[in-house]
Amino acid sequence: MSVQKQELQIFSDHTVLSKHLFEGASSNLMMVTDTAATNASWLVNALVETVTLGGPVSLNGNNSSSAEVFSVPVKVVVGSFLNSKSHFTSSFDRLKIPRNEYSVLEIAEDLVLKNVGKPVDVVIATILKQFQTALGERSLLVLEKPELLMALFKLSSDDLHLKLINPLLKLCSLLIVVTSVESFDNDFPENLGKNTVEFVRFTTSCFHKSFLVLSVRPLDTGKAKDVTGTLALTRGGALLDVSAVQPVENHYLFHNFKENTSLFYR
Amino acid sequence: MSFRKRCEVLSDGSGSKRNAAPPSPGGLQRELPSRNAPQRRLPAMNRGQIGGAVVGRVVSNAGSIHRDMNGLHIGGISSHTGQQIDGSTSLNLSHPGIRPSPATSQQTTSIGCADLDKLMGHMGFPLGCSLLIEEESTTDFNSVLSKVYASQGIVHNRVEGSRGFKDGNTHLIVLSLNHHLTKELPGVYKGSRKDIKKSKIAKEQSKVTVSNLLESQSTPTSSGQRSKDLKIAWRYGINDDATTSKSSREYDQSETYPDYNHQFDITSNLIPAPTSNEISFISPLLSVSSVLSQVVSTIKRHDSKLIRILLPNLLHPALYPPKMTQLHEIIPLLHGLRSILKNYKERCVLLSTISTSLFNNQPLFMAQIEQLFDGVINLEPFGQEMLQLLEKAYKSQPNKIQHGLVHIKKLPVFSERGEMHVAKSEWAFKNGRKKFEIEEWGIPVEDDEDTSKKDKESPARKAQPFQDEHQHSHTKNLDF
Repeated sequence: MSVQKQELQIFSDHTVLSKHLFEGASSNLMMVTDTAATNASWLVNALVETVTLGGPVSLNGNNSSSAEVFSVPVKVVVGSFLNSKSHFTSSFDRLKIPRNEYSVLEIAEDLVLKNVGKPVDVVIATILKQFQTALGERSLLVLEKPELLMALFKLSSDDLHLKLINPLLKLCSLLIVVTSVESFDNDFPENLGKNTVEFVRFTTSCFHKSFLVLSVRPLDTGKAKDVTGTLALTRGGALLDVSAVQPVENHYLFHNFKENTSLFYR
Repeated sequence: MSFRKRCEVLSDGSGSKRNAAPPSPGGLQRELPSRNAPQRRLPAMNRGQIGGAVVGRVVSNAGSIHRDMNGLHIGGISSHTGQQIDGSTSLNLSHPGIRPSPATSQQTTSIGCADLDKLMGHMGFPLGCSLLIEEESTTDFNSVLSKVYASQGIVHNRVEGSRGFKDGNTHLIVLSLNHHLTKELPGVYKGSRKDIKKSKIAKEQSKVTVSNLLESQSTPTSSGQRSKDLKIAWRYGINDDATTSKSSREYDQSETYPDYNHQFDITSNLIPAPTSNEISFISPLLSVSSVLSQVVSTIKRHDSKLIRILLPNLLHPALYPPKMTQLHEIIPLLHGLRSILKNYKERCVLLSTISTSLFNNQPLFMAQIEQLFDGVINLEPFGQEMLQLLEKAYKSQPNKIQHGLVHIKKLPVFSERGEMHVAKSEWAFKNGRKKFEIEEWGIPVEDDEDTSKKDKESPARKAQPFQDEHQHSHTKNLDF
């Protein structure tokens, strides 16, 4: 018996990433949250594919029909504080995304070795400079695990937002912040540590700044053979700075097996 | 016949000569394909120098055989190993402790525990990956795994006889102050005392001596005894154990990769103890920059070797000062190690162990640490009550008693792709003298009926002692 597969649609014009997002001088923030059990790498790949190939071709066994090549070229820049450049390039190579369609910044490679002991402002200025040279007028920036900077350089959540997230938001049309919410579900003990407060504060601030939150989580009921987890699309605290389209709230189940991801409506 | 066997035959069966390949006079050098077949999946692996003086595709396991334009050259030992020929720093694929992952074709190495290798889903530990072994409560089962991991590296280094000793193929970096670890490493398991004794007797008997000949003539019923032994063995399934426990596929694998993993006896010591050429100690309490630079320089010094990094007892209060338990102190160290691991991903692996009982009230702290590892497994030793229940349930089979549960939180490569591999309470471990075993967990069935029956019948039992004795012996037989 064949099972009906559904396509990922994020915006009201039935697209994953609407072309209207990259028109004009608007800047928007989208948040992707994941956990250790369910990494959102497949979703990031799908979003990058949408901009570079015209649709999330890796989803649903390459049967996606919503391929619409953007009329205006969009620069795709990926910067990760956790994974190295080769991690992304090998992943994008497998998806057959041409290398000239995106650029991955080398941030995580020598982040500690190069910057340990330096003032935080200098470190962040160096990172920002890397982004400034890579980003263009119409660009999509994927920023993975920026919260690691808080642990690495004893940075507060507010400082991270003021010094990195806000300037980056001004530099690109769409900023996608990929962050981990592992252990956020647990009941924190009464003696909540300062670090925990800062991490929760960072995520909450991101939520308030984003127009949409894509939450990738494992099933609440536990492990299942045919379902890996859930993808929930919920509006964030900010309004989308584009009038032509609106984000659509939705809930999907997804199954990830051997580099293939299938989506199903819930 | 496999290529490996063919190579061994051609190189006089000496494994130590597998890597040795004299530089070809013609400049163009090409070697036979090896057991590490999926070369195409590893673009960064040793494929020879392009555009240089030496253009060759250096492949593993063909060290003593190489072909050039003039024909086939067999044998010959050179001081150059496969990758030293083209001057790159990647690992020689003829390394005895490396094999491709059946799931992803990535090169993997053994942790030192065959069951844990299987649990990883790659029959080992993919190169460039890190694994964190967490342990709840105050037990120290994780130290067994860290020691077998260390021992496995040393044994790999010594696999290829005297040449392997001289040059080495593996180096162990231990980030710890405990230098006694070298004396605590377990040796390779050589069989039970009975087996050792039997093999010694068989060896003695195989010698052609007058007494042996006389003995064989005086015992004509030896074949009858043998068949009787076999009959008993069949009845108790002794021989079945040896044949059915290992599938034919496993046999093939152990034949193809004979030195990939070893079984270690934790009551014995690795002799001779590792030397400074095989193991390096770096204090994790130094400043992060000096720790990382020392690790990098050690990796560079042991060019072309497989580097196994061990970070045992992370944040153990006896080894680490309290300030290290702050996020901004430990995360830079782990992040830096991760960066090094990814920079040298073709020949580096990292294993770390941590006791989580100290950080139970800090879930976010643990989550941040776990985020920096590619694989995370958790050992949850059983409490006293559970152990008692197991002892009761396995009264007649004490070797079946497990010591705790193994939870999988993340698996290298698979979890990175987004696959969900969380497995809670699906596996159990037991630690024995000769093996750290991981098997599927099932709650043992306790025979409550018998005990309740006995309790009910206790007044009557007193009156009928003979009957009770009979019943008891009957039950015993049933158990048997």
